Amino acid sequence: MKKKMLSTLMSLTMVAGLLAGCGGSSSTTTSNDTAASTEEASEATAEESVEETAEAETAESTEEKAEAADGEKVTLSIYTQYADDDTKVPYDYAVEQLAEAYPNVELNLIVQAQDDGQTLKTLAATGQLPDIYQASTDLINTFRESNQIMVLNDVAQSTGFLDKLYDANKDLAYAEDGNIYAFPFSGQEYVLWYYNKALFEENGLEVPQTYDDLKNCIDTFTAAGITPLALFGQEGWNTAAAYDVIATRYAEGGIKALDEQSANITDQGYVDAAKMMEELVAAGLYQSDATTTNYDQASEMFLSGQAAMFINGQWYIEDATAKLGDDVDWMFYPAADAASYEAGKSAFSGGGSASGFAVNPDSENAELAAEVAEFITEKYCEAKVMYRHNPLVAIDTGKEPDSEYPAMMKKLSDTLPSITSTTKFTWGLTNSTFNDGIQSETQGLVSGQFSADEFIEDMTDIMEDMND
Amino acid sequence: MANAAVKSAKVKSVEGGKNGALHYVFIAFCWIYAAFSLYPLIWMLFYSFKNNQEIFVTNPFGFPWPLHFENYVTAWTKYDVPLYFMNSLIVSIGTVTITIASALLFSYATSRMIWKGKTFTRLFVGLGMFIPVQAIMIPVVKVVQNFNMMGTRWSLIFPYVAINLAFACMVYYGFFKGIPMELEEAACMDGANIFQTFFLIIEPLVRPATVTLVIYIFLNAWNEFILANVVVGSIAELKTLPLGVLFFQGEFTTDWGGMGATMVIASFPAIIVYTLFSEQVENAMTIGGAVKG
Amino acid sequence: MKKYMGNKLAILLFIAPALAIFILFDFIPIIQVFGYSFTDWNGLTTPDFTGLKNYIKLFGDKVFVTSNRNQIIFAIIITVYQMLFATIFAITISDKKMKGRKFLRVAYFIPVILSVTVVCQLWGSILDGNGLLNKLFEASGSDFKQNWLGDRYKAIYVIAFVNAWQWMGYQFALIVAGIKSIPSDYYEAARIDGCSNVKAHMKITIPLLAETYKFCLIISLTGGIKAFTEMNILTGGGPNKSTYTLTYMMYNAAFKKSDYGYGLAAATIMVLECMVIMLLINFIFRDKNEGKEEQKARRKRNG
Repeated sequence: MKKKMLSTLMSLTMVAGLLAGCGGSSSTTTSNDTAASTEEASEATAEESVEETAEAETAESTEEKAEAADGEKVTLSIYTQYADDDTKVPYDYAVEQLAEAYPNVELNLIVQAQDDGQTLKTLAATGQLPDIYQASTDLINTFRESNQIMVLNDVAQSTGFLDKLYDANKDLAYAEDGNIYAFPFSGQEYVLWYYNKALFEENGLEVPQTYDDLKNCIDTFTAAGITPLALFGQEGWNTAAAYDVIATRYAEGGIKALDEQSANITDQGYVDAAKMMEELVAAGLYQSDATTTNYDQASEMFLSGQAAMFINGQWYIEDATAKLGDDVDWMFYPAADAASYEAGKSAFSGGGSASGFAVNPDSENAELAAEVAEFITEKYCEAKVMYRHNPLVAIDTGKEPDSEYPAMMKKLSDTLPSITSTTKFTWGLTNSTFNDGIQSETQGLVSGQFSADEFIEDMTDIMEDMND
Repeated sequence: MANAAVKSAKVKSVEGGKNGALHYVFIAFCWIYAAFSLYPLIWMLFYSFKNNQEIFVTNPFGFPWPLHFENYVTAWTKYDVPLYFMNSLIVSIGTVTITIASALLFSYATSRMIWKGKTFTRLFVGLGMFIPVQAIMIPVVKVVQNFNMMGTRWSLIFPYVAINLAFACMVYYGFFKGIPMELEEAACMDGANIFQTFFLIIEPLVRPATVTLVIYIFLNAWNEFILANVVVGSIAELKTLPLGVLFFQGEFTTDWGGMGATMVIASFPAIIVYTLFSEQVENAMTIGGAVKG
Repeated sequence: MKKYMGNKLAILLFIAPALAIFILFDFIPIIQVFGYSFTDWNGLTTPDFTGLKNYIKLFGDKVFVTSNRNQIIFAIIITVYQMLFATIFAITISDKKMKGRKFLRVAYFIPVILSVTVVCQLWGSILDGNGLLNKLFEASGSDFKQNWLGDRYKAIYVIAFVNAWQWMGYQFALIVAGIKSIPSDYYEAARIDGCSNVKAHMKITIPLLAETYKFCLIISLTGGIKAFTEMNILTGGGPNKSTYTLTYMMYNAAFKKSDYGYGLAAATIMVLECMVIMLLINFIFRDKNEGKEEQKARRKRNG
């Protein structure tokens, strides 16, 4: 594990500008005859990130590719998210780049619906799966059974994707059976406990290290009319993360260990965590209507200073910094006592998930679609690094951000080498029964209307049901 | 008819005089409830001019200021509004026409004509009312595929007809039941055949029901999202207006103002049409009543 | 007459289109739903027949009990609310003397025109913890502030209200249409008999609209049992599945847990419940009406 993290660190520091220069370790692209020019391109970018040169090179390779293809236009359908900046910017960038690299390929975008995979599963069941689609761990596992997801091992090899993939993210590309079914673009991700520094100072509070400190903060903030922590509990993943940040203080494996069934919910650590969460809820850590709060509401509460703390992934750094500037920071999760607080600094909630762009094997242009999927994945990573200041992507892009990384990202990258254990976001969980159960049961805990005993009891049933 | 109206008004005026105060309280209640029903329109309009911060924190209910016209600009540029609008219109009109025609005929046969098994047939089709779309979605899409309707507007129209059919049949059944049998007897005596009787005498009598159903079915088709997303979600030329909201819902964040603008764009045509036509609706109903009286 | 109304060709032509569409797009899918409910199936692979396993699991599921309880509460609330207000407003609107009746008629119908999404967004923001309603209570100095949508036991009543509020307008329109089709001589006769206004309506409107009411009853009750969208948008079924219904169970099992067979078992039970209710309502109403009609028909034949 340490090794993994080390390599992640390498990537981080590199993109942060300390080690610029060893970007495209080896990049071979889609068709062999263009490999050389692309390699040049990536090297050029890596060296001083001279955009123009890169473009010129790409243009060159484009011509060659256009020749290679017989000039016929091919339209590939792609099912992916396209709504906010985090999804629009990478997609638009990828399309732009694709037009140069594959002028004969046109993408037909089908915007992903936020419907728990209902649309995609129905399309799959009726044989209308798009050529390329964004697949979560759960979908990969489902479609594997029905052979509706293409094995991408060869393409990953021939396009050089595997070479660019950070070692730390190798496990995100491979499914349990050792095959590659999707090109991941997100790397290892972390649940961060954000807090508003200014609010803590104004109220004369220190960053809480233990739950007793935290309870003290809760009392002070509540008395001042500030919500201590704004949770968006309408989304099960956020309540699950809220439980996980506590559970990992007692049992390192957190919800990941439960998902893998290497731990049981009745283990003392998980029971203690549930009891602690119950106490914190009763003390008023979360807003009283947390379970019906959506992301935008909770985020606005935090950004406008109505709430002092917030739990979200590291991708939120960009938005939080844009709004709160130096007033925002993240803290290590509080723990039962000072000793476990220190010990717990190396255990984070969150982690990577095996998900990314997958290809429909029944597509008329499956081979081409696979190449394009790989290309888009690379471009997604590049855009995320360059324009979203998120270096935690799956592959080594050799790109640099268009401005300096925010302070919180630097702090995170400094911390990465010491992280020894991570868990999972809910979308990275492998057992869908457990996934569904932990999301709704933790929501029950957050509501304050379900006791810790009820939680443990229900989760025991759910875990018995997991292998069914 | 007009004469009768005056008389019935008289009947009520007698009542009104008796307990005036209570009457006014009741009238006030009616108007308050109306305001309560109209509020969403205003709210939606305000909402569509706000950004996320205003919607959730600074100004959730007041007048939007400054006006964020850009919500409409984004909505208009993100997807082809006129095209989606036309698609919604064609699909909705197609659905209404086919549903009304087939339900009218079916209900007439099951309510007034004489044959064995009509109650069973009626209840059988009535089953359609109880089926959640989510449950039958996969089989329905397969049927659509088997008929090679994929990629055409029929792929939406037929499932929509099927969804609304049972409901329409039940409404018509109730109305047909209320018509006296003597009408057909008289028509029979006059030598009209069953088709003439139906189209010339009976059908005009259920116009009030037809009008309410047309509105209801039209709205159902106009607002439908789940099936539309699965069936035409990947075909840009066939997408309908409700699918516009997809452009604003991210995995984590939603552009609520933009969504508000999309909802206004999708709802206001229906509201305007209804308001404009409600006069005609009223008239159509009165004619129906007049023929009968 | 019997021959005239028993025209085989006409009957066939009349029922064929509706029956064809129903069988193809509703009935065949229902049969499949029913069939798959006895299998272990993720929606994509070949289903494995597992007999009654899904049903046994379903009946032992805590959420199944909650779902049924919610459906009953939901159905009762929307039925009472909608039928009561729809009748009152319909009668008021039908009074030609009522000022602004045309405006009111449009106003009451407006919520029906809006999509469920819009209506739920609106009520979601009103009922939110910092929403309009709580702010009003706060402003009036009352401490009746509630977590309207987040309460394990009470949220379902609030959601039912939102649904009732939206669809009241439709039943209202149906009853208005029904009143229009009642010949005004009936009311005249009632007046001559010295009936009061309210009494006239009780005696004439409501009995004559028995079929309309029966229908309203069916749509409200089955609408309650089928409910899904409101929960999905307002509470997401939470907290902890306490606002689930069988349709929600179906959705959750099929798409979140990839356990399609189990979901379809829940859907099957729901369809059966709706059928039982429809038959029950038909049975209750039949006793009074069909009997009378038969008598009338017999009298006619004799005459």
